[in-house]
Amino acid sequence: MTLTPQLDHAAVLSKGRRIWLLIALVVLIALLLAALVWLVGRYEQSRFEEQLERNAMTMVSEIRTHLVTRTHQIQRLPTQAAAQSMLDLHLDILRIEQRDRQLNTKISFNSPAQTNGIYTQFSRQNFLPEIYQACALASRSLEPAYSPSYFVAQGDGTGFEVIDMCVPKITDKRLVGYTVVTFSLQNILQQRVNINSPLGFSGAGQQEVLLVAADGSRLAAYGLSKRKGDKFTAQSLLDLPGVTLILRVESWIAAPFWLANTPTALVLVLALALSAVLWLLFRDTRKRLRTEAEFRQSQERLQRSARLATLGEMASMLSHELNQPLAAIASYATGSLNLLETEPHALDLYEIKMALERIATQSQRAGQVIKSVNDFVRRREADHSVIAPKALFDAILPLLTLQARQHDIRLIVHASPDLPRVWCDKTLIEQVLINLARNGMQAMQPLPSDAGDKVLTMTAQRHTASLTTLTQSADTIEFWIEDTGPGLSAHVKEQLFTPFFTTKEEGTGLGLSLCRTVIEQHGSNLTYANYEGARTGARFGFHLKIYTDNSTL
Amino acid sequence: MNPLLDATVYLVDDDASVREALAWMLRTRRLSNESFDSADFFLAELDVHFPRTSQLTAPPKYAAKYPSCLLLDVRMPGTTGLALFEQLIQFDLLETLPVIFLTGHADLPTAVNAVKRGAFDFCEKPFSNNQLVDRILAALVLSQAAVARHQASRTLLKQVSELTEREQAVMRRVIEGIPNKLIADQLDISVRTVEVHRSRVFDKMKVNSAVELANLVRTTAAELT
Repeated sequence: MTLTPQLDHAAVLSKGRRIWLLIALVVLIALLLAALVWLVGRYEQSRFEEQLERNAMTMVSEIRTHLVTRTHQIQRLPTQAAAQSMLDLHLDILRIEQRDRQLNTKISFNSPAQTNGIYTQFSRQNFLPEIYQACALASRSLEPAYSPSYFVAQGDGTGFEVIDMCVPKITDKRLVGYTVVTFSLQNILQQRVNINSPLGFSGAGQQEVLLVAADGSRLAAYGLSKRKGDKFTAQSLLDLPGVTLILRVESWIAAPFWLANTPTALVLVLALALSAVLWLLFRDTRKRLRTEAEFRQSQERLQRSARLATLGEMASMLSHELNQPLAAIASYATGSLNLLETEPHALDLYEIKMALERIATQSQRAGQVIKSVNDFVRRREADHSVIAPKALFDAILPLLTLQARQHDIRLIVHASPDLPRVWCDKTLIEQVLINLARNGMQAMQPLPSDAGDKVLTMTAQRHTASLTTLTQSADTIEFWIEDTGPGLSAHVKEQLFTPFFTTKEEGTGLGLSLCRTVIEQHGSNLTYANYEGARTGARFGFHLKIYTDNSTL
Repeated sequence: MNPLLDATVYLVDDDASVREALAWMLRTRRLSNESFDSADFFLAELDVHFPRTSQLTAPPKYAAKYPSCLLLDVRMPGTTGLALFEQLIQFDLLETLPVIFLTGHADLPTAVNAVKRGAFDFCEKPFSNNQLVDRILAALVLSQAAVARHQASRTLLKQVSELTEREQAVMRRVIEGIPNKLIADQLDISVRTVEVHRSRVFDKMKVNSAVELANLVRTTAAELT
């Protein structure tokens, strides 16, 4: 099993979760955004439709009012000349006829726009049924009535869609005749309908207003809309005595609602701003998390190197503290010898005695230094704890991975998570493992890169008691660290554990000897083996007791 | 046993036991010594032990009056041994006061560097005391020569300053080996007068011949400039 260095398992897990959370957040925001835009669009659309409907109703009432006004004007026509001038003034009226009770034409006036009248191609006689229908209704109700609409072709492909209005003429409460007025539906629309009436929507084109018969056929149209995009329609009934027409208003909106409109645009911008803020927040959080992780890592690295530094520092301090009394002792000894040699006869015994006393004092001082080191080591025994062998490796892996990568060394760790836990001073054992691993890596460093695989193997494995040098019986976990370096030379082997013996330029020579001390304190031995032949290398190992309830050292 | 009876060994170390032991050992070798427990204390008393060679220069220059040597601990609280050493270089004191560093094992590179910068030697603790004394004696011999040179140049300066202007002019030419006749021509005086000046110069400079005078001036010329 090759362990790829996983610096922080928990962090890796939560990273996956974070990505899912992020995706969910983005999807939710997108959905929210879409829903919001859709709703606003729909709201705008319905508002627009209402406006269209209102416009249609307004137009219908305008037309109705217009027709009522015309009726009044017709009823009060004083003279025939007045009828002609009315035709001159109002283009929506095509013809005015005075008829008697039997509907015979007494006199007729044509609109100046059509000097010969509209009934040139088709005789007026053709449309008598419509006039009868309107006037029959008028005679019954004694109110103006309308004929159904009909088309008067002009022969040149054009024509007029018209309706007749029959106004009963009453003198002394008696029906004396009728005035029949022919309206051009097209002209009524053009005159009375304001197609520029507001729609409350900037993206809308012009409105198109249609008059449609009850059967759905188009009778007249006014205004032209660009026929592009979505079509909106509103209609309203124009209910006249004798005829029912439908006024239909159409409008086309080319651009989608969500772009052309201020509220939607506002919502869109707000939503985008919200996502931007969320994104910034997310990025910031991620940056902070990363910084924290880096900080934690560097903190760990610092702690470890500090722990390593204490070794060197301790050695330096120790040598300083021991040097002082030793220097003093040497001085007194030399001085005494000087006195003995130069003045053997006139010897000042008091001087010699004083020097010897000082030597004794300084020896005690040196002893005190040694004792304080022992105390320091003994104090550490309180730090024993129960720990899984794999955890020991895991704790030092980040540090070692860094160094291994620098020198192209492959790190292999064999440690099953199921191994029974051991009883040890975690800090010191980690220290030993780091020292041994570093020694191994340093042994491989000078090898050229094409010298084959540089591999450092770290193993923890259960070991049965019969083969170990331990006499305490109980099973142990055996730890060993193996490199593929050149191995130990005979010269090095000889002095391997001698304090202050080192093969490295900056070495203190204390590493291995301290390692051995630590391992011996744990009731084991630091063993080593040398591979020779085809596959060279060195292997250092030790045993740790498996934890049982009565484990003590 | 010790030819340098007027010599003094100065000892600066913050550790009292080392200081006392070393001082006692040096006394058994008849080496008089002075102990200081810090570099600062030594600097404070510098004026008492070493006279200034000139009142004008800044930083001031000092020289030992008697053969001297300084045993200096590298690692000390306050002013370190190395800082004191740098100060002594500024004071021009190293020639008459050679410095031997006392070092622990970690200070080795520092000590080697100090020797390159003019320290006499270094000695690693715990040191072999008689070897140390040998080095001290060597340093004292060196110091003695330097002190003597300083002394001679001071005397020469004093003697030259006591000559009259005309006598100095005659002396310069005598040293250059110019015959009396030519000197008389150059200075536009009689040969007899030159001879009078010449004998007065020999008197005041305490020499018997022109060769002796030239030697005296040449050996101390470096000090004069």
